[in-house]
Amino acid sequence: MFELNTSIFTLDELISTDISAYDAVYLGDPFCAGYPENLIYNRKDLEKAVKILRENKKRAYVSSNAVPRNDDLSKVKEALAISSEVGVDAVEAHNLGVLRMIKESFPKLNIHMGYLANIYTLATVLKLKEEGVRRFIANYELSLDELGELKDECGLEVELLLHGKMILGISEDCLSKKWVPEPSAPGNCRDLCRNGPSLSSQGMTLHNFGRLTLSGRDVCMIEHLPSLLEKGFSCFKLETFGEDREYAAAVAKIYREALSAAKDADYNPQKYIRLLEKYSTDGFCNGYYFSTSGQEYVSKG
Amino acid sequence: MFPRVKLEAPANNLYSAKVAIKNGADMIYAGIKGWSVRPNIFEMEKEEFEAVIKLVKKHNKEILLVMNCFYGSKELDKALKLIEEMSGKGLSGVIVSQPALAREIKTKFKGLTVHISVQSSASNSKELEFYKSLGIDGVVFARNTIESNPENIQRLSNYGVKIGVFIVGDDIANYDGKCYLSSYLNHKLINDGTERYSCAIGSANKSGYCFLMCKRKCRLLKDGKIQGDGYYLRRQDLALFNKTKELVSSGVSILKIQGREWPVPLVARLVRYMRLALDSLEDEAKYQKAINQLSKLVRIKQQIQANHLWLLSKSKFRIWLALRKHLQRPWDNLETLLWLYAPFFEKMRWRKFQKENLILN
Repeated sequence: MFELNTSIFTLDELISTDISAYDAVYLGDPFCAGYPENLIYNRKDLEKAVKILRENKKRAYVSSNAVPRNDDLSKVKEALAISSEVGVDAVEAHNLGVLRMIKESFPKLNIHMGYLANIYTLATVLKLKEEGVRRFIANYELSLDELGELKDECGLEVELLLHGKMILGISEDCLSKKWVPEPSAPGNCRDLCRNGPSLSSQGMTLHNFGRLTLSGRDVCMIEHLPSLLEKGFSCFKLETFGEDREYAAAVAKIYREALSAAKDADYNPQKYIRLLEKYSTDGFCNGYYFSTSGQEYVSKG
Repeated sequence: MFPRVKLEAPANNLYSAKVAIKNGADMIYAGIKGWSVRPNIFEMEKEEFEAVIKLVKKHNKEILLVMNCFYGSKELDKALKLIEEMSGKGLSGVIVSQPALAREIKTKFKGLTVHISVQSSASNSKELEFYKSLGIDGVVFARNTIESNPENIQRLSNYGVKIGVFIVGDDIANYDGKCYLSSYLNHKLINDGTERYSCAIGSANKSGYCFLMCKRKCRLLKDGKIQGDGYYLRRQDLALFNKTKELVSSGVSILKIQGREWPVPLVARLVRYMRLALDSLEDEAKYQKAINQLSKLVRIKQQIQANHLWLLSKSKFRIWLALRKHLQRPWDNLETLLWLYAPFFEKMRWRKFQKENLILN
């Protein structure tokens, strides 16, 4: 069995997304507290969202602020309290302070450690296990071999990014607002994020999403699914925030089909690649899974 | 009365350590080749580091070993071995990023102080609590997270863990330790001849060969249209010395100066005037003089950075243009001139470094 999940930031997005191919959804935008109608801080919307997921028999996870400052802590605690009351399946923490807060105040919540927690080593994973973490996303810079070793030795669930844009950095403030000269009214803040500017330098493209810098190319692991399953990975993330809702639905369907077919001896990824190519603007890469540069694509064929 | 704070200065060789101490640093931080978040050329051989320890001890100051990479699982034992070796020589403390490594050091080497590096991007009091539970002595907070609000620092300083901030530092696009732009461009595992088995070119977190994507010129596109060329990922340099009084009185206990990669004369003067500012907190005239000097130094630092940029580039034409621009500047004094061209002398080292290790587009 495997799990396919994605991140959805607002209730509107959840309603307009066909989530039938997903098993779980991370709700809320952990990177920007100011994202309009962010599910993390909105009790009514979160309740509705969790209800929708329950009706569809999907698991509901909620993210938490990735780099909270002191002033944000009370808000984070409030958000965790909401998640706890609503009864979500797990909360995602990126920050060691938030992890401690969950352990102290909401010990019943399951904890997933997010990507920005910079998990590189077994020792760190074991420390997090002591703190009660159930699942983690290791830093993207780790290779598949290293991830395999981590998984075998720690006994926790390891989540992998399977498809979508990689997060390459988080900044202190919104970069889009800084760069785009047009006056941004509170309402078009989300549009600015979704339709954000991109940067090109040294022959590579980077996308901007508020405080985040994203890779221009989409990570695509469809060719390597058999080896991933063989290594025993079972939790997979499709990064779809900032994309069309059509993309979020279609990519999940393609991967669900491919994952079911990946165990067969005559697994042919080419037809899936052709389907995925329709949704990619800058091409594919494999991230750091094969110890190469993040933007390279390692083809099997 | 202002509480006493410690001034932490960088060193990339014995000479720079000597100069920093002479100018009034209380603590020196330095890295051993292959083990910190800087290219090898800004780190020392073990023997040189031992000499630095001796020198610093002679002056009754503290010396911290920077071990702030995110090491792989297999490298942790080697890291601990290195710390063991150095602690036998008289090391005062270690700067680390990984909580697990910090805890190991705390349990194995009781005499060493352990500081959490800015690479961990600590940003709130709960994180401080977490580190306190590991027995950590000091935490350097992420840039622009706590300094805006003195009340926050006061609250933080009650935890009994020393609070550090960078008072002068580079402009960077993303939080320290949470930026992977460079390894997206180029990432390669090599054996760099150091004790660590391999190092990852391109990854700042893994070993320190960062391609400084945030300092490069890039093109901004919106809706498929070119908006312009420029240094979009650059931001204002970190310069907090204007707030020295507020920081000191609200409970920051370590003021840190960045600059293992900056020219020694520049760092020396930053340390000297920072010392002057700290010693004359009660004497307004002297304090202002020091702050003015520091502002001037930071402006010069920006010029040097610009020079470093073209040193990383291949194009000779751009080097020539940059040079011409500077020749048109009215000189403040001879010192400025020397500092501006200090990178010239580093150029050969950079070239050698590039030839051996980097493959730039």
